[in-house]
Amino acid sequence: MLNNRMDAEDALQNAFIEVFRGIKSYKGKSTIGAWIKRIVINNNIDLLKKRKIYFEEIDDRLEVVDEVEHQTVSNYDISIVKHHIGLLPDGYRVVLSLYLLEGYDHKEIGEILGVTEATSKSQYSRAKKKLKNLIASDMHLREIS
Amino acid sequence: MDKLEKFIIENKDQINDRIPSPDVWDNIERDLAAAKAKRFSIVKFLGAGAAAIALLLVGVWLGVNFEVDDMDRAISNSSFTDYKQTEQYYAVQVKNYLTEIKELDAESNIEEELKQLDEVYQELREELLASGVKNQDIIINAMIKNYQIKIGMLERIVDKNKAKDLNKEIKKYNNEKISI
Repeated sequence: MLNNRMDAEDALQNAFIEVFRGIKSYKGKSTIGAWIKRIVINNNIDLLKKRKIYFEEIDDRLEVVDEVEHQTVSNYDISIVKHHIGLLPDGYRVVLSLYLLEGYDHKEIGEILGVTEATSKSQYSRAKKKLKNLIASDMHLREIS
Repeated sequence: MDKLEKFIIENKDQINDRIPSPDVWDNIERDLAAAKAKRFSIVKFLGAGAAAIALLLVGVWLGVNFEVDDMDRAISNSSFTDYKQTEQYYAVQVKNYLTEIKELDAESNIEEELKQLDEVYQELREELLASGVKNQDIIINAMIKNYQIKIGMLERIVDKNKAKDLNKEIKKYNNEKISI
């Protein structure tokens, strides 16, 4: 989610220290795994916020041209998808990761990020569109090369 | 759900396959140990605080008790040594006179009067401790004077009763002489 190994390890370390220190405060409202996962996610978000990432503001700097959007990809490749998720702007990548990889819904993502559910949905939609375009462009370049 | 979403969800374990380095767990262990040590320090600190409060309370308690003993201690020290000896002398005198009055079975309100003088004496002692070196001589003289007044009163009572007894003896002697 953080797209940086050192930051990810720092966040994980802080999260687990928080988990061990706060284990007595676990009230059993969710599974222990979900509770730990939420702490890890929150630590990731805190770190991203330090990078001045504002989730409610959508960064369109890396918006790719729309002409490749219509292109369909018959078979996705894991390494390519993984590579392009990593190239997404933080604001897009976080929402996409939380939704597709971590399994949160948009209401939960809104709570985690401190944005509305609608913002999460629109951010996710843009993130997915950008990812599709990046992958399609990549696949297209591979085909013609 | 479109094809890409489905693909990512189905392959999320492979997409999310980065494993943290073993250093992370070592660092977590180290930080937790440090936190534990810090908590221990806090416990020690709180323990020290509790001990300090206990010492303070003991100090206050001793202070209260010291305040009582301090009068005698201050008077018995250094420049007050002479006065202490004088006080002891007068105290013995007062005790002897009171015993004698009791033996004479003298009727008097001496105890009430002595009580008032004792109160004045205690005030003088407290004043002596509070004033320190300043006005010491004046206060000590006042305390000695207090004892002298007590003894003077007791002497008069004893003398008066002795005189009564003597008169009784004289009258008795005269009556016996007349009857002879």
